[in-house]
Amino acid sequence: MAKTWTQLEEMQPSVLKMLKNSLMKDRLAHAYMFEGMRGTGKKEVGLLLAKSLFCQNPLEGFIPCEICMNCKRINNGNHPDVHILEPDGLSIKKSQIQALQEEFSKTGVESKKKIYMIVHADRMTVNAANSLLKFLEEPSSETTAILITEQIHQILPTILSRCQTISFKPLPPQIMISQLTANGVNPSIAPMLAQLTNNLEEALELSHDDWFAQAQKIVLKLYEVLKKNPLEAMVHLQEQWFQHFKEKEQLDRGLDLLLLIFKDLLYIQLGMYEKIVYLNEKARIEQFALETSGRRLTEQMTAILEAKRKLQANMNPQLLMEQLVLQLKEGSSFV
Amino acid sequence: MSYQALYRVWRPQTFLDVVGQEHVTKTLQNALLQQKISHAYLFSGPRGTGKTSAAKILAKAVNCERAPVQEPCNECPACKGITDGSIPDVIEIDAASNNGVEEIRDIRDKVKYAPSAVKYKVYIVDEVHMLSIGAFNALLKTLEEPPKHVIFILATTEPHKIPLTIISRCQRFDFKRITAKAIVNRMKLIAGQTGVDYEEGSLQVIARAAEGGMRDALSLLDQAISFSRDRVTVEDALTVTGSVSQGFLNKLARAIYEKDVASGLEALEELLFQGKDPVRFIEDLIHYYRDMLLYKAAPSLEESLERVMIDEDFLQLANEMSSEIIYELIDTLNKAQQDMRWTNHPKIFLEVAIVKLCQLEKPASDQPSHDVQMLINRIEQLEDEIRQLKTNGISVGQETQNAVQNKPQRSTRRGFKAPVGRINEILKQATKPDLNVIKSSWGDMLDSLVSRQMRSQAALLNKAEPVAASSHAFIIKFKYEIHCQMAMENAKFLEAISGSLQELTGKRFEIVGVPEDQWFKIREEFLQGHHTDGKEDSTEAKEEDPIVAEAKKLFGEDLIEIKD
Ligand SMILES: Nc1ncnc2c1ncn2[C@@H]1O[C@H](COP(=O)(O)OP(=O)(O)OP(=O)(O)O)[C@@H](O)[C@H]1O
Ligand SMILES: [Mg+2]
Ligand SMILES: [Zn+2]
Ligand SMILES: [Zn+2]
Repeated sequence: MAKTWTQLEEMQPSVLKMLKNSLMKDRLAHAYMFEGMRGTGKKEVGLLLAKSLFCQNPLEGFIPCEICMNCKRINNGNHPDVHILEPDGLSIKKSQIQALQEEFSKTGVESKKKIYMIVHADRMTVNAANSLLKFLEEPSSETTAILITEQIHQILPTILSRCQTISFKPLPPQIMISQLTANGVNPSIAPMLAQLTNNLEEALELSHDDWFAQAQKIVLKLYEVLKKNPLEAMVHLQEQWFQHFKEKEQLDRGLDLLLLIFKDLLYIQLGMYEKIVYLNEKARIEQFALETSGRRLTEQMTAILEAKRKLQANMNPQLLMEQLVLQLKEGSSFV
Repeated sequence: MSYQALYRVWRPQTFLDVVGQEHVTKTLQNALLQQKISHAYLFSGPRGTGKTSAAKILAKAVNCERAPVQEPCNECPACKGITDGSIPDVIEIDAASNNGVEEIRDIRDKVKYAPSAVKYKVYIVDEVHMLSIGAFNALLKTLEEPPKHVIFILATTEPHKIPLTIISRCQRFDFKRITAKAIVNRMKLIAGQTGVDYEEGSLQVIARAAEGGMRDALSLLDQAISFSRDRVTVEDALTVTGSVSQGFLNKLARAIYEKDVASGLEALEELLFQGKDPVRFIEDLIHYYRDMLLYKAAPSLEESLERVMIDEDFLQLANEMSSEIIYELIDTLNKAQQDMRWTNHPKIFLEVAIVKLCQLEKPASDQPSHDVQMLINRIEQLEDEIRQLKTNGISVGQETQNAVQNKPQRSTRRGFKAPVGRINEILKQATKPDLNVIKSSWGDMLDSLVSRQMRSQAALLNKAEPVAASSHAFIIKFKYEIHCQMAMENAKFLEAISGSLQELTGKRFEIVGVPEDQWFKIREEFLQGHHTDGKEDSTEAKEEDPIVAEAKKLFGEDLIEIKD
């Protein structure tokens, strides 16, 4: 189901305000860059904007009615003047951009208006991106371009310079927490989920996931054995950790959970108890916090972040975890 | 008719309107008046600084019926026809869409015919860096013997991708980032003429966020106008640019100075709650501290501060904090910033960085910091330049730049960004023997710097080393980003290095600098064979390069550690 104006306005108030004002003032730009994390509603807002432009009967002059022919066709993905370009395989190729431009050299099927969206615009090849420049800067009249990306830092400056950039914000943790609990998630794990993802659906999934429940236990266990004896920690890695965190994404999740323990310890030291996320283990963690130092904690967090980076660079997970364990062990001087 | 963006409506139609590029426009205007027109021009420079606009103006000026003129009249049939595209003798080619040999050959065939409507046939080849090798060769043939009635204007943001053979046949003009001040003035003019009401400070915020691109600035202004009610406020400008107010930076910097981790984290929380982008924010913070360093070193140089406005809180902090500690803060932030680039969860890096900043020890201050000394040197040099500018004005008729010359690399508010394209170019041609040539002269070169009274600059090379070289260029890796930046922005220093190496080796080398962490990434990517500037789309299927062999060729056996 396509989200309505009101629903999206709740998610992205300032984005919708921007669009609303532009529509009302008749100052809609010819090219936008929608940027922001996954699950922040970029494509949905793109479609909403398309409906605002094509709707035969917009409420207050800009809110799509959702029932006219045009709104329906856009919701069903078959409006002839709304074009969506997505990566073909890993990237968006120059030939795709050329085909798009050819299509746009004809006038609109039903009116002069035309819209195109490029999803994952950062995945345009260098050739593709450069061949878009002229078309993006000086399109025929009544063309609206919406480029969408989760990685704005990967976009060519020449492309960015030609667009109005609109940033989509992740859901703030507080709001995420209340939405999760409203959806029946146990308040004792909601704060943790809110730290791990900005995506409500993903968080809801995690909350039902046995793998995830088990993961928390294994991570905590690692911390405990680390404190006792790093050798034992190595054994724990073999016997439990690697059994559970098999895939790259899983391991990344494991590292995030581990990081959250250290953050909790830090928060406790700072007296910011309301920030703790391992609520079920609060008493134990408070005890741990007495046994370490703030500086040590940052070193440890840095080591975990570094491990996350190595993971992304495809370092061997086994090696990576063993190194990490050595770095995390208490009392060692960290390099 | 739908709404037209400000940057399209306000495309400059005369040289006078091309602001911030006087070194280019004055030279062109003199040449026009003296009718000393070249047959090929290369306009290079960052996005949105006026290259394409200037090319079109030049096309009109040479063909204006009132020529010789220093501005097109924009009224005669020739000027009008060129503006509306109806005169077939002025031909715009988008090299990014037509990067084939065919199109350029076509030029070659037609170039010999005299223009039909105006005096000069003008070919504007835009985004010329996208031409294929074959097309460059075809173009070269034409450039070698251009007919009298033909002018080529090549424009690009990436001159390092243009073969030297082409560059050497062109008169080259480097367009500069436009200063915040010039951008503000242009926006004031536009706002005034379009009846837009604004708060004074809002234009400052926009100009700074635009990082020297006028198109970027006008896009932001457009957006701020749309977003605002009836007056563009500072708040509107902060919202559309995603920037953080100075008040906020002051507050956070104060917390960091007082080692108040809790307030630091709370401030951060508030910021993220407002939806500010962590990556953007860390840039703002780095700039804040950079400006503080500059300010401490030379309070009179307020003009050169890029971001900060000198307010009371800033002043007070600047007085309280030692340069050493600021320097360390920047270093920590730089590292975090590097890490944040590859992750989808940049927030956590920022949090840890803030905690770290609050925990920094005061460094023992008995040893005088050579970094600060270097900064002072740099500022003195800047002051010198300004003094010279004030007395001599901007030199007119400055000759074109030689192709292989060491020009200072630019940095942005994102910190120092190594020229990846250029580095890849060098790596493609790099060999171990070339590197050895440099290495064997390195020590002597350092000595000679010292004897040239450049001791403090030479210190920038303390933790730096040459890591790859071709026969014409080499790459220096710096341990600290700020060292790299300071070295690369210092044209005199670069000249001294390459001059000294020339004496020692008999060859002239171009110098490219790269901070260590960026280097590792660039090298890795290069070795894995996905250099992003592949000219053809079809290289989707990666060829299985024998990576290790390649690495050995480049860096030598001893330097390769084979990691997993
Ligand atoms: N120096 C300048 N003075 C005034 N306006 C400028 C200047 N540079 C750019 N602009 C504004 O930006 C728009 C685009 O400029 P132009 O096409 O000349 O940039 P460019 O240097 O060719 O950029 P790119 O490399 O992205 O193609 C112009 O229409 C004008 O509104
Ligand atoms: Mg251009
Ligand atoms: Zn409708
Ligand atoms: Zn004229």
